[in-house]
Amino acid sequence: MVFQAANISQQDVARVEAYNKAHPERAVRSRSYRVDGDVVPTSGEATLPGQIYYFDRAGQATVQPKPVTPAPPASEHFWQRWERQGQGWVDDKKNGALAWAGGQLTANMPYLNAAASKGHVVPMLATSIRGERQGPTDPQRQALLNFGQRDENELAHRISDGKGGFMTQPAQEHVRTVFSGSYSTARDPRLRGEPVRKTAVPSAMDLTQGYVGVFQDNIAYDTGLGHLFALASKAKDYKTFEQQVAQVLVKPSLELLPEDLALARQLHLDKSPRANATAALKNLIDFQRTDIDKATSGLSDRWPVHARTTTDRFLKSKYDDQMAKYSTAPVLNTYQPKGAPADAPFRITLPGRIRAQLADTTFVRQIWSLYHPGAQK
Amino acid sequence: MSRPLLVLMCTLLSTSCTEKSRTTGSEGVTVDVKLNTKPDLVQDLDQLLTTELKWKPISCPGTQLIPLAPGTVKHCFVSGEEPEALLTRISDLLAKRSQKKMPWRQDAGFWVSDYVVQGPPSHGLLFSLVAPGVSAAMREDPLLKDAGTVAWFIVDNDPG
Repeated sequence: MVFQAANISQQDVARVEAYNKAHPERAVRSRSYRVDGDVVPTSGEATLPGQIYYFDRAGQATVQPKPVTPAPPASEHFWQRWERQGQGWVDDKKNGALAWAGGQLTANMPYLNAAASKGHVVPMLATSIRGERQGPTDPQRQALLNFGQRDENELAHRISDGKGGFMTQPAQEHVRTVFSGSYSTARDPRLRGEPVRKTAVPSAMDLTQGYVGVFQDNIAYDTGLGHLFALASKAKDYKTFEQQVAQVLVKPSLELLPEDLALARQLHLDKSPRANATAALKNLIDFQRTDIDKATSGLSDRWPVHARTTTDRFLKSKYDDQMAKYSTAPVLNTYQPKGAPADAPFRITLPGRIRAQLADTTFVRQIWSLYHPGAQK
Repeated sequence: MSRPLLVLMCTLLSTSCTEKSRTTGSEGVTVDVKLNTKPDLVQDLDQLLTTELKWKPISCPGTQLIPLAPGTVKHCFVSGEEPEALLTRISDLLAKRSQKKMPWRQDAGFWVSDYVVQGPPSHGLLFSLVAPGVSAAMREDPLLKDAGTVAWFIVDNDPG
């Protein structure tokens, strides 16, 4: 039995399935409890065979929201959104492609907005009992009501006031959960956001060069730290370790770690930002077309054709301009000497402040103690 | 607005504060705003941290295995608060006039974040925070008695 858990590897699930097939009288069945909108159960590869029990999370804002204009019909809504995205796309001052990619994220991925992260922290059973009209009917439920966790959005928070002090942020929501049904793991209707998550998120990150920034900002410290960890795991005593650290940190540059290079390749940083953005744009256009098909389904036949033609014409006119702004040099190449062969090692020069942090003896000793915990009391 | 904060905000980044001096209208305090040179930056950081966060300057508890690179400055402090309580407060103090390159991360018990203070000239600024309870040596150091955090910043000329 698992609550709001991530999935596990397909290989492990296959082993259990094989066991169940061979021993039907002793088949292992799972029970998974989930809250709708929680992104965590969409991670991993597969769920053990069994049953999934869903709770719907309903949050009511404690602050009165502004009046909302009634939603237009689906097709009208789509065209309004497309118009807005079109403006973002063509307006360079608003970062064109970046604004468009951001629009794609919020429009196509309801499972990745704030509600999705809230969905993971709701204590479903205690919140469900708290919402029961009649109150608990047995001691176990009464205990959950009295001592169970509360949804953190129902709690006041102590937050920074931006002036070096703190202020109390009142509770944001009244939260209720309602049991909404169970489904076989073989047919889980709630994971509809999964294909979007796997394709559209990396695409939007490629368009905004999100992975590039994270990698570049962390790689110097990560490389230095990784070299120290490697030395700590192999050195025979602390004095030797200190000497080796000093020798490493005076080198003009350090070689990138294999794991960091593997991650960079997984994030396609061995390809150019332009190549990645081109592929990403194609992915997102496909999503846009799916959106068109959904928005125009049930209308007359001419609508899908008209919408697709308009979309294609619009994107074609803007595509080349936008793509020209991305670099054609692979990000990883910046860590090789200019003109070096493709198999030349990737190296980075550590800034002085990072060398100073890594060379501080309180820090160095702490790294040593990670690998040699008995070395100090 | 307190004077140290005003000085830091003017000194870090702001192109409108590159004249030799300026007088703040409402308080009538004359702030000698200099160019964004490293001695000014370090001095203003010292002042900001000791007044706004009530940090106490100390001699750095460890030593350096290799000498600091030319142009690199390191200043150490203690705070009565725990590191986790200081993370957002440091970020808030620096948010308006510097760019956070590497967000707070914790490795081996040390919280580290990396900033670029834009110039000209631009500087790199690294913050490091650790609870002294993390190691026996620091726990037994009388200088660190009652401290919740040992902190230091390191400034260099390399914003990259």
